[in-house]
Amino acid sequence: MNHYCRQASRLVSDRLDRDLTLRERLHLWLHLAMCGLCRGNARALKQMHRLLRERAAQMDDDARLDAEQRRRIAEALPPE
Amino acid sequence: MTAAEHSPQRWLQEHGDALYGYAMRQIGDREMAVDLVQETLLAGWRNRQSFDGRAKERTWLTGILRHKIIDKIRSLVRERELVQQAENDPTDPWFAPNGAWLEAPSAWRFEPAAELERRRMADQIEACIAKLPLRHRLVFQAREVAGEETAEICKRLELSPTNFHVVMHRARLALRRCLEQHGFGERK
Repeated sequence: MNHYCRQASRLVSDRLDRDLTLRERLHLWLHLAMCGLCRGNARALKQMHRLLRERAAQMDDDARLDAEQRRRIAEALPPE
Repeated sequence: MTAAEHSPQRWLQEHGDALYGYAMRQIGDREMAVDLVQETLLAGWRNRQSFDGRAKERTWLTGILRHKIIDKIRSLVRERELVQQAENDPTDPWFAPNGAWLEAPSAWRFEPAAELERRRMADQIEACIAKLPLRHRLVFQAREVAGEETAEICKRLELSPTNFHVVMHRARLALRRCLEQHGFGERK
C-alpha cells in the first residue's frame, strides 16, 4: 500500500511558503483528517515557523556588535 | 550633506548595530555578518560621492549591505549542488520508498504559552539552524528569519521554485528532529 505521508509533509511545508492549489488543499485536508502522525508533523512545522517569525521581529532591537567586533571593523576603516 | 562630513568611523558608531542586525537576520553567521558590515562601510567610503543626501544615511548604507549580502549568498549557493544535496540524497532519512513515515514523529501536543518556554525553544531552533548544511541554512534563513518572499529568494539564489520548496521541506524536517533530540515534542 502506498502512503501519502511524504507528499503531505511536503505540502504542509509548502503552504508556509506559497498558496496551495485547491486540489492540493483538498488532498492534504483529506489526508490530515485520517493521519495522526501527519497532523503532529503539521503542528510542529507551523509552531517552528511562528516562533522563528516572533524571534525575527525581536532581532531588530537585540543585535549588537560587541567591543571586539567593533574594534576589528574600526581598524579596517580609514581613520578620522 | 557634503562629502567632507562623511566618516566611516562615525557610520560605525551610529549605524553599526543596525547594519549588523540586518546582516545577522539575513545570513545568521556572526563572522560573515561582521565582515559584511566592514565591507559595506568601506564601499560606502569609496562611493561616498554617490550619496546625494536625499535618502537617509542608514538607508543608503543598508542598500549597499543588501547588495553585498546577495552577492555573498549567491557565491555560496549554487543550484546544482543544492539540488544534489536535496534530491539525490540516497538515504532519505524520514520516509520509506512507499511514502510512509519511517519513524513516527513525536506528538508535539504542547503549545508553549509561557514566554520563557517560547524563548527557550526559539534559542534551540537557532542552535539547530546553525547545524544545517551551509546552503540549506542560507535558504532557510532568508525565508524564515529574514522573512523574504519566496519569489525574491528564488531570484536571488537562481533557484527554481521546486528546488526551493524541496530545500525548505528538508530543512524543516531536520530542524524538527533536532528539536526532538533536545527534548522538545513528546513521544506518543
